[in-house]
Amino acid sequence: MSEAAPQQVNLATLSLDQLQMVKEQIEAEIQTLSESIGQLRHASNKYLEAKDAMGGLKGSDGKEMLVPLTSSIYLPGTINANEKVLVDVGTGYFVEMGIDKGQDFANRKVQLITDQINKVQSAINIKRSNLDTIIQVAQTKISLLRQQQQQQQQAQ
Amino acid sequence: MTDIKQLAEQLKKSTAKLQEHEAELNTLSKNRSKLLTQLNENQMVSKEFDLIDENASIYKLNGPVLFKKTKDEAVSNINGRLEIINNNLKQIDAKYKDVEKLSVDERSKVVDLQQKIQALQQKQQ
Repeated sequence: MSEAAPQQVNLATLSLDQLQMVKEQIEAEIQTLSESIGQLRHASNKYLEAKDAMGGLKGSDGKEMLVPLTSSIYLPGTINANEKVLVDVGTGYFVEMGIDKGQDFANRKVQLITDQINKVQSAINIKRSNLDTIIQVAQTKISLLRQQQQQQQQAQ
Repeated sequence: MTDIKQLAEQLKKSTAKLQEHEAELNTLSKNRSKLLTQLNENQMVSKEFDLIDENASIYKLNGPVLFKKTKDEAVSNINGRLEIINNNLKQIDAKYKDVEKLSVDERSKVVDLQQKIQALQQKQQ
């Protein structure tokens, strides 16, 4: 955000074309940031799903379940997980942990992602307010130009 | 006239060099952000290892196969990777500074040459 301050200082000195360019640039940045929020939400949902699945595993040892082979073929099986799950912690490492710990892991990840979403959201808000200032400056310039034109016409 | 031609020749060379430096800076910063992503991921794994039991089973994915590892092995592997990544980052940062300096020097050269050429052209008019 360090570049936001000098931008606001010299906004008034920019021409309409330059303002238009800056506006488009900021709009593109907002677009990219919004897309990353979508991706982060997607990742967060995946962890929430995993957490739900682990919750369903609790106290279910020895029970029967249908194992999905493909999205439309299921085979009968018996749960023999011993209340343990294998968690992908990243960079190819998998750790065996109890269901509670696995759920804690999912919660940590969701928390981490939520923090990131908040950061990106506040960045978007700053960009939006920058965009508003730019539009205001541009409108002031346009109405000033119109006044000048009218005065010239009256003078003639 | 020959002066302007010579200067223009120099300007052409300097601009080409400047573009080269800028392209290099671009690749360096791309590599840097890749390394930062790796660093981040490894740091998260390292944090997870801190949280698990001493005798927990750890597996390493190698192709489609999961190999069992002891916690010590896994931790030292991740620490080694962190070290390598940090060293690479340091190297890239140093290189970036060098090339950045070259690029700034070259840019001032280009501006200097452009001003000289302009001055000569105005004199001729």
